[in-house]
Amino acid sequence: MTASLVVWLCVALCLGIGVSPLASIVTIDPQGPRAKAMRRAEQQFASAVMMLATCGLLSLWLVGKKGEMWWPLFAMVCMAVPLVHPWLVVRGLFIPLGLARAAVRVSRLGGHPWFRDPVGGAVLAGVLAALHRGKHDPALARWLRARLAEDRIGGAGIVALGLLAAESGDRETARVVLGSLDEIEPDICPPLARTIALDWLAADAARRGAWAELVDRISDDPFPTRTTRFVGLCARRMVGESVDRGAIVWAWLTAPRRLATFGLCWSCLRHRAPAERVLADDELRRLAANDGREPVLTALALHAEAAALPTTQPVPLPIVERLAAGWDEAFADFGLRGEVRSRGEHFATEANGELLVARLQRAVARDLAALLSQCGREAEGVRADAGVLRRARELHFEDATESLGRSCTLLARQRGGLEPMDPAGAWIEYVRVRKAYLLATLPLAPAHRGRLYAVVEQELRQLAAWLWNERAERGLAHAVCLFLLHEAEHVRDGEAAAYYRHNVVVGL
Amino acid sequence: MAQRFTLDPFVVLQAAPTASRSDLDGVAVQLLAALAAGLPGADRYPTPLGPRRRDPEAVSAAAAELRDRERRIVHEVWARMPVREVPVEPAATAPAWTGGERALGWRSR
Repeated sequence: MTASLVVWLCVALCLGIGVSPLASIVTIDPQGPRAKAMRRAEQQFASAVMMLATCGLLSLWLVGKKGEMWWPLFAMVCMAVPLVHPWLVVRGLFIPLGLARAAVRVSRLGGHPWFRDPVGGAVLAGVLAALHRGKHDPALARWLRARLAEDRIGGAGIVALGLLAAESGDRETARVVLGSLDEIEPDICPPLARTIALDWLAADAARRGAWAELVDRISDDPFPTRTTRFVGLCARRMVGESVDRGAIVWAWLTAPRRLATFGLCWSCLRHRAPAERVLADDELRRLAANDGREPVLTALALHAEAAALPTTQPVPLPIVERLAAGWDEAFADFGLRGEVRSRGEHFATEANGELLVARLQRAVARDLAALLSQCGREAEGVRADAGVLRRARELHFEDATESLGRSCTLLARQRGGLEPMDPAGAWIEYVRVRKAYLLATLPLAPAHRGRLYAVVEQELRQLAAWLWNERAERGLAHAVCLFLLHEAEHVRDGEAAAYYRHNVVVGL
Repeated sequence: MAQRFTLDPFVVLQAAPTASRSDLDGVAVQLLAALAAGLPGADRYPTPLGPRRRDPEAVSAAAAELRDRERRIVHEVWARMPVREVPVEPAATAPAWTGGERALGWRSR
């Protein structure tokens, strides 16, 4: 009798906790007492569920041991558990079976781990289930996307958006959207969503062999999982860092899915830094390192070496600077200028020799601008204020201004169009513009960066206002304002910085 | 960027930068005839970045480009780079982990 009472009490408590109201995530200051209280509530809730589950099982065991009828109590506990902690059922049953719609509906009951973004978390559970299906289902993807529009989008919603793009085969969008999770305030981003995003990004980078990108991504993560720690160590070894084999083996042993990750562990242990290539005699004459010939031939050889680099890999900045220096020397050479001039006179062209050399210079600068775009973060170190590299930076600035202006116009048209986009679509466009802007500004001088900021700022300001005022997407608007504030401070635009500081202080 | 070398008209036509206009037109006609007849070797040519495939469109475009005298002078500079018969070996990189997505629980598409 006592045991039955304990079980009923457990069930009632579980139900009570499950239906009790939680703190709203809509108007929370990330550093405020409400946010701290919410984090504490999450921890307390997780502990309570663990304790009650233990009590329930213990009581069932006692009832069964006394020979009393145990199955009604067992059935009650089975019904109560999904109500209090639906994630258990969703994770253990619906996701592996690919039951996306059921996963969404059951996850909407709330609870751990989606307190910070209940709707987004439910849709994310549905997307995870959809990923376990054999093939892409467009109707299901549309249904999931529509569920996302039912409430404000938080971190889990953004991860669901990224995985939906990946599921439809648009990996580039998935990469950009999942990478944007860093901009979302932690108080509307469940930690599990962040883990899922990092896992996908790590798997994607490993699939492309982008080990350097993987090292950067995992080293930035303050709470790596055992899997990402293992993959991160492997990536560091792959890029040539000195990582002890014992450490890799230990990380592999402590990580889950050891059988599945054995291939990576083995290829990583066998990986050695590439040996220096032996050059054949006929190759030596083409290499730029051999001086003592015409400067233009050296420049051409350097250009050919740079052109042979894979376009999918980042280009080291010293290669670009060496190429630019080679061309500067070639353009300063009287021999090249004289030859071009005499050929111009031979063909009686309208353009004189200097103009023809200028055309060649422009072609070289365009190639250098393309290489600068490929440099990634390293491009920040370029400091040339003269010669062909300066011209390349100007061309890069002109291209970036035109491209970003086009993107902003498109964004404005979509926002004010006959069929306005939803906040999720607006976020995808925003993170694309932001990424293009940040990449474009890397090799630019501060003055150019300020002018490029002016190009994007007007439209992004409108976008933030639209998200805040018309769609009540405070989390997304807050992230846009934070980015604009950071950039305004970077380019020393005091007026804009004051405006965005005010918006950021208002909070979510 | 690679096209500066691989699609340079002099390289496509396998002609010297000092060749006259009539020589260049003659080379283009010969190459088009060889391509139409399917002669072995006519569809490949060496470039500074290794061998590439040649088609009638590339030959016609190269011949047309070199008829503009000002552009021809700029192409002459690029064509000074020696060609190579063997392909450029890509830089050695660490192998990708193609089974990563499945191993980490993500279905590979």
